[in-house]
Amino acid sequence: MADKITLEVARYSPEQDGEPRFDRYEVPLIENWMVLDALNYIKDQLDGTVTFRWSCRMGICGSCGMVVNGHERLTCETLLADYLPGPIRVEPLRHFPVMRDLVVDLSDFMEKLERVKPWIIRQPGAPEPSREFIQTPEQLAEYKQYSLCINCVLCYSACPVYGLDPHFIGPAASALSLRYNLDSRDQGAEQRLDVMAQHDGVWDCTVIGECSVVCPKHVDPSLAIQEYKISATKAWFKNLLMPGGGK
Amino acid sequence: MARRSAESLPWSLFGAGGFMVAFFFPIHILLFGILIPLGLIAAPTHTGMLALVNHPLTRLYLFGFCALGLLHAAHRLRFTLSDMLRLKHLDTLLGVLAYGAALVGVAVTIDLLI
Amino acid sequence: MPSAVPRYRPYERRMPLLWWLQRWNYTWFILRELSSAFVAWWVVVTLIQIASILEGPQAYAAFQAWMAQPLLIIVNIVSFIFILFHTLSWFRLVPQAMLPRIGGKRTSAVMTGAPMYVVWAVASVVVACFALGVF
Ligand code: FES
Repeated sequence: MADKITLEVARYSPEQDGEPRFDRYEVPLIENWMVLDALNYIKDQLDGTVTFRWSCRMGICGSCGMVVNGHERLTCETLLADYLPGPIRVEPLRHFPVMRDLVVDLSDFMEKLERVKPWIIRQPGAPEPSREFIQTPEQLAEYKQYSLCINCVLCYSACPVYGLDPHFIGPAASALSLRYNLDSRDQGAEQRLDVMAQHDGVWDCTVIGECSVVCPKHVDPSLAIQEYKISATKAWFKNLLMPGGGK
Repeated sequence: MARRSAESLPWSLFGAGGFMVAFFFPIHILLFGILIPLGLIAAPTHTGMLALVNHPLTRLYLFGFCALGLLHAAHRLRFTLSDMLRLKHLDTLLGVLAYGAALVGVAVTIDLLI
Repeated sequence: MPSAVPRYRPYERRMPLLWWLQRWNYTWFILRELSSAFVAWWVVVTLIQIASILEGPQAYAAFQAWMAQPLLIIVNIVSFIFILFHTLSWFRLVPQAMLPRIGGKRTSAVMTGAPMYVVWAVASVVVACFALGVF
């Protein structure tokens, strides 16, 4: 087995560069090293200016997402050895503006995330429970899958529709929004549908499905979006038959 | 707060058309487009076909076949063209062209079957 | 919200024109969606077929001669392949998207997908029997 492997790291300096370039670094190929370990080796030993985000190193904080050899990955759980003999090309996530090297600007996602109200909403005046809410395992199972999202936005990077039209609400926001609709304690489904059923909500999705493929937590955002289309359509026809009815 | 979109209408027709196409189109193309033209199956006689087409239920079926097929295709083509050729900014125009053409087709179908 | 900080310029990217060749999944998606063009084509053929039947035996014979041209047979074989692709992908996607629950319970894609194959088979047999005068 080779004892070194080459990384081609996308570099972009907002003060100096008009375009990103690739810098090549040779790193030791150590068993069980992840791509993130290699990047940290580069930063510590070879070139302190390489910039990237990371925190937990265990696939839970969602900050180390990058495009590795063309595919979205959490670099803290992507083995170097899987890419032998190399080189490994490391790029920032797609579609988002690149701030520096491997760091992208997530403001757009943050705005969308807030817009879909991913928190428990209670109707004003709804009776306060006298103790904690009880949930059965079945009620938990309804939304568990969606609640595993760690906001790593690999799905946005893999979604061509978001790349083509940044107004599209996108995969993770849809999954996290539906997660609360499916929660037995929540009463905010109508408010969220107001957001998701708008023109720049879920309608641009053409079910390419790559969001669900790249998700490191096996969330299925594509399904969430289709469920929203169905809810929106049911509500639309209901409103057509009985305008303003039922409220 | 912006309004909920009316996309529900074309989307539900797209969905209904998707079932129509999935269930009924393959056999039509296989029979009338491939097997009969190749002479592998004897062509049905004109008398038989006329009797069939003149039955009201067949006409209802053919109307659903053509109308839903067209509306399905229009919706999908609208999104395919805008995705494939990066024409999102022309979405309104593509919508007018695609659904407009489909509605013309539906009108022709009605004219033919009534 | 525009940030107060940046005097620098973030690098904005645009999708390449041929983005759908970047990954197999994207290419499959475009092929699947292009089936709609063949759907439209086949509706046109069907309308011509109905018109020729209603017009009379001569027009019907002309329609059949038209369909028997090699070029049209090739177009129809290609159409058939695309429509089959539509059918199979529809049966795979719909259970995921539209029927995830039966009676309030989540069911597997196989459970909801299998009946659609049955409906497809029955529909095909029924259409063939009517078209070929078995009934
Ligand atoms: S560093 Fe936290 S997910 Fe990779």
